[in-house]
Amino acid sequence: MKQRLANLLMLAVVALATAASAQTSDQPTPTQVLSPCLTGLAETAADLPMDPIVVGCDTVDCCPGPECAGDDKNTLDWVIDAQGTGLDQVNVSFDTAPEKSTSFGPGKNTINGLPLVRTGTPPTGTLSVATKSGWSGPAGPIDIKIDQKLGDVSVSEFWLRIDVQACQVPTTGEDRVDLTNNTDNDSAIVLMSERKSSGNGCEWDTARATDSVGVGNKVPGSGSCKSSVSVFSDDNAMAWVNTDTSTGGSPTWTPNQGDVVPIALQPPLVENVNVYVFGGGSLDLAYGAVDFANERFNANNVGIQFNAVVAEQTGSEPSIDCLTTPNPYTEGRVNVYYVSDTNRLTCRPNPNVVFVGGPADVTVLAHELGHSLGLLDFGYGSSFGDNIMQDTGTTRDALLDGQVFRMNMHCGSSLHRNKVRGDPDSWPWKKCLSTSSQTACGTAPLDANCPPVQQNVDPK
Amino acid sequence: MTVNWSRKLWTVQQTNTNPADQVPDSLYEDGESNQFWLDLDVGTTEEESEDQSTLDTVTRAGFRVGSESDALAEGWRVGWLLVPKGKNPYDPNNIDTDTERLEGIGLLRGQKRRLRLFQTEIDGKEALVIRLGVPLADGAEGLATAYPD
Repeated sequence: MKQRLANLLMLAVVALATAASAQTSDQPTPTQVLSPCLTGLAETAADLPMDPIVVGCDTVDCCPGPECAGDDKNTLDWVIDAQGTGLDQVNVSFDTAPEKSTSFGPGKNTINGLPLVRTGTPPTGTLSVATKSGWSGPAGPIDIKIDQKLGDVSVSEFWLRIDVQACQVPTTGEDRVDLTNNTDNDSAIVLMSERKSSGNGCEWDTARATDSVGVGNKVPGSGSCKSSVSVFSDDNAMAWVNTDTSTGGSPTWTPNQGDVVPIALQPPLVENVNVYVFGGGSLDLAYGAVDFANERFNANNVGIQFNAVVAEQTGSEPSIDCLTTPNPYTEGRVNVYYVSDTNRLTCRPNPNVVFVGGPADVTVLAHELGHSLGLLDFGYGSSFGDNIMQDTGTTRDALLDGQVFRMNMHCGSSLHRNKVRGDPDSWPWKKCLSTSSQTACGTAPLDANCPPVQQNVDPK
Repeated sequence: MTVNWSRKLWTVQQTNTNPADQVPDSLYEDGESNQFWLDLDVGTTEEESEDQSTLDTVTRAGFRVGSESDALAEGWRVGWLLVPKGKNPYDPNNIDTDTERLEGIGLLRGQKRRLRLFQTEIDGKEALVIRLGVPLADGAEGLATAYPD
């Protein structure tokens, strides 16, 4: 019988609710109600938390009639009526009368000669239930009614109702993000979007990982929030994985635990930069600024390195103007002009055009490259005084994860224009709030799946 | 904070001592009062298109910069028509095209420049944050502030 039980589709271990009936009503009500989930797993139905049933009478002395006609009887009979579309088998076992244990299918069955113990501990019977193989439930409850009879007189009644729920049951183990190719086993930052518990939009959760990390139970997105996983790490490109079923993500988070999202990190992206140093600029400053930008961008997990060609220019300085293309200029690269003008700027219509006027220190180029990659300024009075995008200051060296996300994902970023990620259609660019150069994104609405600019985890 | 641009006499100050952070000398005149006020006016000016890709010529109501003679640096005396723009209060952590400001585009030393004034509070005092830059650009534009007398 055990073998048969193991092969049957059984009811799940977890019951959502149990409720012992102690109601007073004119209508009969079940003695016990179970609402388990149907999983399709071969669990034994004995694991359902069914109440043991005492073999005996509801009354203390088991004298059911005015004449106490049953006083001389030493056995009870159980008349069991089992009904339900999905019911395949009922198993009854008795602790101190194992020889009376039995199994039967749906319908009315009787177990005769159960010992009636008038003093001491009475035996108890325990039910377990097997459902039909392949039953997808629920199609009405399973009802098992037990009428204990002393002769012809009912002395105890028990009614078990099993309401099978079509619900999801978690498997064991957390969801996981598995990182590979993490250069130097950096403590990477894993940023995950998931739907808010109420309302639209996403909430953002983070974890640190060198290789594999448990992230609890992540669920699919809903509405405007599409679940995703981003990874920021030194010496690796930012990774972004769509884990949302509705937008074709693979693999995706499911309502169950145990999902795994493998992410193979890639080498940093390389953005080509031409640096033109005119008479008003300094070659040493330009070289130092490129080194500073590369070092700081890597330390802040940007995943973008600048391959810069620095060249001194002897011609006249280009006009500081974002409506014309300076000379010289190479499309597909960021073009930086060190000039004598006092302005430091990046053009919104074409983020490949950057001017660095004097007086400038090494931080200015990193700041302007941040603009070229789609970032906005932090202004006077900002709480991010050491941020590279602070509009003033010489101690700027930090970037926030929300900024790193934008530099890599925003369709106004020079990465998009310069096809650093290959064909523009091959990367899920986003039109993020709080970004520059949105013209490149067209008329699409802002994407709700960009984290706030101030999203951040430290240390990097 | 309710923005009230007019009926005040503002005094420009260099906020930073680091030359790389200072507003260009065209907005601050050593030895002068550096005081100005704003007069309502209507006129023709250029402004950035909504998609930030072109400059459009438009007629707008705005403010002109007024001052005593020689009180201000050259950068204030180019006929700016400063037009109210944006609706969100100044938040230094989130400055974008929706941030409330006065903005004008004019010719300074032969080149198009953009002047922006943001009204905020600094150390509990009403103040203007002044940015002088280039139209259709983001940049480290340097900084000056102005306080009402």
